Amino acid sequence: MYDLIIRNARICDGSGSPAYRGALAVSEGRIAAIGTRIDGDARTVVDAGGRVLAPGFIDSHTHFDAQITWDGLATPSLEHGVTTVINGNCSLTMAPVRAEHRGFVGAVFRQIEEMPAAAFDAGMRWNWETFEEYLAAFRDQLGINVATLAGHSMLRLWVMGEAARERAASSGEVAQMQELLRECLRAGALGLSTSWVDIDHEHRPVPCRLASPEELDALCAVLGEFGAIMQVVPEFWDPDLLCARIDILGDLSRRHGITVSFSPLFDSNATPELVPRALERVRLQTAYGARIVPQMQTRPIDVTFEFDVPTSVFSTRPTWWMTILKPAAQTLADFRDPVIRKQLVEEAYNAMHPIAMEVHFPDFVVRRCHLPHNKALEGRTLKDIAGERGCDPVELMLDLAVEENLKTCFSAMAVGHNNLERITGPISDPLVQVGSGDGGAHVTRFATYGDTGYLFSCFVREAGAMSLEQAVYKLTGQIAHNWGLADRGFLRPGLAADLLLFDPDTIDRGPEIAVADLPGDGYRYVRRARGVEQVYVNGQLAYSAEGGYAECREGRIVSGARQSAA
Amino acid sequence: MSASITPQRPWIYPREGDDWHSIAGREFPGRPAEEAVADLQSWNLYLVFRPAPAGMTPSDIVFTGPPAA
Repeated sequence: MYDLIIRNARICDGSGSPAYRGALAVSEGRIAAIGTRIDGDARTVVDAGGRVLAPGFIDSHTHFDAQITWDGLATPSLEHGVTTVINGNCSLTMAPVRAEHRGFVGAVFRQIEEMPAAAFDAGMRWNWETFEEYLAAFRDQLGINVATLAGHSMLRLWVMGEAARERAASSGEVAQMQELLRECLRAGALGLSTSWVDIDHEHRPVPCRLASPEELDALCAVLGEFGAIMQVVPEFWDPDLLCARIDILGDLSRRHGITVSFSPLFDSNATPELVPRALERVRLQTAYGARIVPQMQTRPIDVTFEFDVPTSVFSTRPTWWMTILKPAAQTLADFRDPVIRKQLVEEAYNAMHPIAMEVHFPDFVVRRCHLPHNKALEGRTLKDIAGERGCDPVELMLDLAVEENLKTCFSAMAVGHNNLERITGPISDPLVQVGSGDGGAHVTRFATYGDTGYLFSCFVREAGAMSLEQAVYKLTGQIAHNWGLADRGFLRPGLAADLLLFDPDTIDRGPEIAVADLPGDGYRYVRRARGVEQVYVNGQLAYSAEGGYAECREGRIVSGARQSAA
Repeated sequence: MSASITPQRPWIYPREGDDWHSIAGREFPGRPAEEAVADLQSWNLYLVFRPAPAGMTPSDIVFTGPPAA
C-alpha cells in the first residue's frame, strides 16, 4: 500500500526526455515507483486527468532569508509550483551574524533587497548568531524546502568586525573565514555567495568587495573541499567587465573543481551585444574545463515606485536623486520650486539611463492614486493623460505627486530585459539556467513571483523557443544538477517526492497585485499562479488550486549532495 | 588542454593603497605619468565616476588597455 498514487499523468521527469502517459507512487515522502503503469493501491489516489506531472520547481535565486523566519511557506512561491528555494544569494545572509552586527546587516539587506524597514523589524526575531542556529530557528515551520548559501559579506563581518567594510583581510583572518565557511557548510550551507557589485545603505561597497583575490581564492578552496557551489553578482551591464569576470570564475572553477554561477545574465537595449559575448566566453571557459552557470530571468523588468522612497530608476539623474533622498517635506518643497522643477523636467528628458534600463518618463503608468478624484487616472500613461490635458507629462507627474503628498504610485514598465527576440535564443541555450528571480526581495517595487509560469506562457507557448520538457528540465533537473541537489529535481524512484501537477495550456503568472500581508502592516507586490493544480512537498500536498495552502509542514533544510562526504 | 586563455582586454587587480598614479607608474613605466593616468581613467570610467565614499576596492578590475575594436 502506497501513501499516494497519481495516475493518468503526462510525466515530464525533469531530465528533458519526452513526456509519456503514466503514473507515480509515493511512500514515506519518497518516490516509490514511476512508469507507464503502477499496480497496487494507495491511501490517496489522484487522477491527473492528463495534466503534466513534473518535479517541483527549484528557484535558485531568492532572498527569502528574512521572510522565511516568519513565513515558512515562502509565499507565494509554493503556489507557483516551487518546492525548493535557494536563499542567501549576493553575499547577504542572515547568518552567521553576531548580535552587535544585526543593525548593520538589517540595514544592508533592506537597502539592497528593498524590504520595508517596518516589515523587517516586525518580522525578524534575531534569536540566532551562528549558521546552525539560524537554520534551527525555522527548520520546524517549513512548508517548502530551503537551501541557503553562506554570504561572503557575513563571513568577513563575523571575523573582522567593522574592519570588514574598510580593508583586505590578513592571512590570519582569511584562515578564520575559511574555518567559518567550513562550519557553515557542515551545518547545511549549500555553498558561498559573493558580489562584485552591491553597495550598502551608506553607499559603500558591501564587505565582500573589500576582499582581495587571494581571499576569494582561499574560500573557493574550501568550497572545493566540500564540492559546494559559489554564486556571484558580476558587473552584469558591461560586456568587457562581465567577460573579464567570467574569466576569473573560469580560473576559480578549474583550480578548485567547483561550479560557479553568476546572476544575472541580463539583456538590455543599451548593450544588445552583451549576452552573446558573455555566452561565447562561457562556452570557451567551459571548453577549457570550467563549470560556469549563467542565470537568466524570464520576465522583463517593471519597477513601481513612490517618491517617498528612493528608487534606482532615478539614480543617474542627479537632481532627481538628490531631491528624493531628502526628507518628504523637503522633497515636496523641491517639487513645488519653479527653478528645481525646471531642472527636473529637463533632466527627465536629457540624462543617462540607469544601468541596463531604458527609462522614458512619458511612458510611466499611474499605478495607484490616493485621492478619489484621481482614481480615474489609474492604469493610464503620463503621456496619455498629459496629451488630454495639454501639459507636459513630467510636470503632470510632479503635480500628482505634490497633490497626493508623494503617495501616488507610478510604474515604469518593461525597462530592461524586455526584448523577446534577443532573449529566446540565450534562455534556451543548454548552458543557461533559468534563475535570478529574486523572490523575497524588492517586494514593494515589483512582484518577483511567477517567473516559472511565465517561462511556459512566453517561451514555450508564445515564442516556441523550447519544448515543454525542456522548460521543465530548466526549472528542475538542470538546477538540481548544477547546485548539487542530488535528492531532488527529477522523478526517479528513491528521490524526494517534490511533485507538481499543472495544466500545460494555462500555466502562467497572474497580474501583479498589492497585498497587505507583511509584518508591521506592510504591503508587497505578488502574482498569483495560473494553471498550477497541486504541489507536493516531500510527498505531502502543500498547495492545491482548489484548497489553497495546506497545513502540512513537510519542508526540509536542503544541503548539497557532496557536503556529507567532507 | 591548457587552461591558458588570453583575456579579451588586459586588466589588473589594484594593490593595497593604489591610486591612478601608482597603477600608471607600475603598468606604464616608460610613459609620461599624466598621459598614462589619463588613458587609465578613460578606460575605467566606471571607477572614475564611482560616487564617494565607494572608491577603488581590491576586488575591482582595472583595465590597462582600451576596449577591443
